[in-house]
Amino acid sequence: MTFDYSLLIKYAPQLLEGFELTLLSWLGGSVIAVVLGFALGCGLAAGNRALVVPIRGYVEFFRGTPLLVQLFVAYYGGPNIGITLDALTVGVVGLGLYGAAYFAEIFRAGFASIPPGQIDAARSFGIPQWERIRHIIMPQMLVLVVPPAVTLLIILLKDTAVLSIVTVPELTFQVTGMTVETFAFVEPFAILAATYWAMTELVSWFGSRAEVRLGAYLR
Amino acid sequence: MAHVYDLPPTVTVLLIGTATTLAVSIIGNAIGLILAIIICVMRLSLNRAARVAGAVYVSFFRGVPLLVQLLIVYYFLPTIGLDLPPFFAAVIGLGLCTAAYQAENLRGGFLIIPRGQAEAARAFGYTRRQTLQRILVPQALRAAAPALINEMILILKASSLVSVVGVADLTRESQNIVARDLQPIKWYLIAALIYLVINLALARLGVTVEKRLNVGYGAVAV
Amino acid sequence: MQDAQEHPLLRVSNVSKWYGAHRVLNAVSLDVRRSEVVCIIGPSGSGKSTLLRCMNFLEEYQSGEILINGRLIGYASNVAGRRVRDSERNIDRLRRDIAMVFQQFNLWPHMSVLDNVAQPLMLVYGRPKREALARARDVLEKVGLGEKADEYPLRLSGGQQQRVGIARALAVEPKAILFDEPTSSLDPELVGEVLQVMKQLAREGMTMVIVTHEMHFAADVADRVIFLDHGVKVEEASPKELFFNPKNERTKRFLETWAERNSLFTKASAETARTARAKQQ
Repeated sequence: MTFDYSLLIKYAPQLLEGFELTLLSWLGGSVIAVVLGFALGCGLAAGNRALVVPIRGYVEFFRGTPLLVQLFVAYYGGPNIGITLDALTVGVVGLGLYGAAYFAEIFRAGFASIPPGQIDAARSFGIPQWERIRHIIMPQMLVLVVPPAVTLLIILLKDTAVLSIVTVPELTFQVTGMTVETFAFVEPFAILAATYWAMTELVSWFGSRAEVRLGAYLR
Repeated sequence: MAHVYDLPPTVTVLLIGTATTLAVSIIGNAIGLILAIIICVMRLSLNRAARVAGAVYVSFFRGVPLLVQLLIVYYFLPTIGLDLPPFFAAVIGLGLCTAAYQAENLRGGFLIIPRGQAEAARAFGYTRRQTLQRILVPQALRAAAPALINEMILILKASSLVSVVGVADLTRESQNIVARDLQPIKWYLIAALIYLVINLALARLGVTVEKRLNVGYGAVAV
Repeated sequence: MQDAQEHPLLRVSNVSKWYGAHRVLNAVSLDVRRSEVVCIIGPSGSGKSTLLRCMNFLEEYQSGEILINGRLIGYASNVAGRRVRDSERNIDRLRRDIAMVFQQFNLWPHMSVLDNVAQPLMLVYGRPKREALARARDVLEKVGLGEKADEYPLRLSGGQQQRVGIARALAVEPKAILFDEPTSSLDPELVGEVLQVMKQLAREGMTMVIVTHEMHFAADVADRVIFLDHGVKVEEASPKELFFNPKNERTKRFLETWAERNSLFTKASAETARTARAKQQ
């Protein structure tokens, strides 16, 4: 089996464009997921029933159904109820809403893992609530949250491939198009798999470094 | 009970799609578990080459999107002369991917067993095989059970991607129905609901199984 | 001085607390005056830690009053004259006078020892960072941990962690310190170093309320000892009276059980007991 590099060079512009969109949708989706997930996680941690019940419903739905089906509802169903969005917007927002359900649970667990005695100590000195959150809870929670958050970011990175099915022209979309046009299979898929593999390894490498540095106080 | 052919065609189609989704998930999981055991053994082996090969396998199949893996299997099988129905590509793809995760889950189960236990068994004259069979494997399985079950449930959701390589699963069948009656919100939400219900039911089952496994296991109860 | 005589620093009057139908504190009253050391003893589950936690309103209580310098902590009256929870701001302000030391130390593990001690000074008293750090170094020096200032708490022994806890309380120059079983989660060989620091504070005239199981220590440093059982203040007396001439049957039984359990103690504790007795007589 020969490996035809010229094919890759010929398709370099499309591949690059696809790569950019993969990065863009990953970053965009992740930002939405983290921000919304943090808000939802705070709601769950606050323990107010009026908040917890709807948030639980949200989390169960988005974690219990496939991302692909969620994207179908939004992309093909949206126009029926007057929401017509382009594929990229649906993809990024969809990925964000999906990831937020997982981040909500991660942040809730992070809040729950701070021993209550530490909060008691802060209260006993009269440290106000906002300062307690800022100086005692948040710094520790962020550290505890890093390992599961990195795992989830990697999952979201891989899930950007699913956006190709709703016609977002990201890397997987470009590669499938290339295969259809050229009947070549080995070259496009080798570069595709290698790119994802390299990216996920890179993210997990950064993740474990961050984990070690931030968690120094625990050892 | 009404015969399946008496139901409206859309419902029949959805039911068949659901059955296909379940079949793909179950067979994919079975393939994945068998492969996972092999990979786990490689990763724990004393042979360096086997360890490296196992690690590379895990890294690759966890590092590349499942969709890409499915497409690769789908396009690759015909090139080596295996012209099988899409269903086979789908279960092989799912199995290869989930195996990487399950191998790590299993390995985690072995790694938390204190070293002294194997030493104690050997000290009493257990053979290597007996030590493994009587002492290590039962504990590792118990310890890994929650993660193993969780991953098996995740595969059900992930299986919606097999629709892309032409398997008529729940997702694909709802696409087909939408193509005919142009009501995407209704049918995709129904599909989502079916996934959700099966998922929640499996999660329940998972908790029950975990509890059963933990009987007589002291404070570890769920 | 005259004013100090009229207003006890801390007054607990008729405080009751329920968890559902279970009454954990039953009309408890006690006064703590300036420079006094009051020890609270009693079997586990007697409500002594709960009482202490009520004193700076880490726990709510349903009836009675706790006054710090004559001011009610935790509650205010609304327009209808009903008792309602006070604003967090007011509660926090009253808490400033009373610092606390915990059984589980409750240090903040993500900050260095120095930052643990300096943090309340900066957040609550608005001290500039340099000043707060300097003050923190001073008190760490005082509890003998000057050289551990830059360590993380989890790298210290339990005894050292508790001394940091005491330094953290001292740093804010409180009018009183509440100690919630400060040595109960320490290995026996580490108890001594903590008690020694506490004795030093007592000698310097710090007002202290101490919930403890260390009877020898209580006999040694307390001005008054209070025996609490099932949420009721059973007896309150000088250590000499309470330990060697208890009036109440329940106090007697409790002390007898304790003595039996501790009769196997090593010579060292017996020695401490003997000196305590010698001091009292």
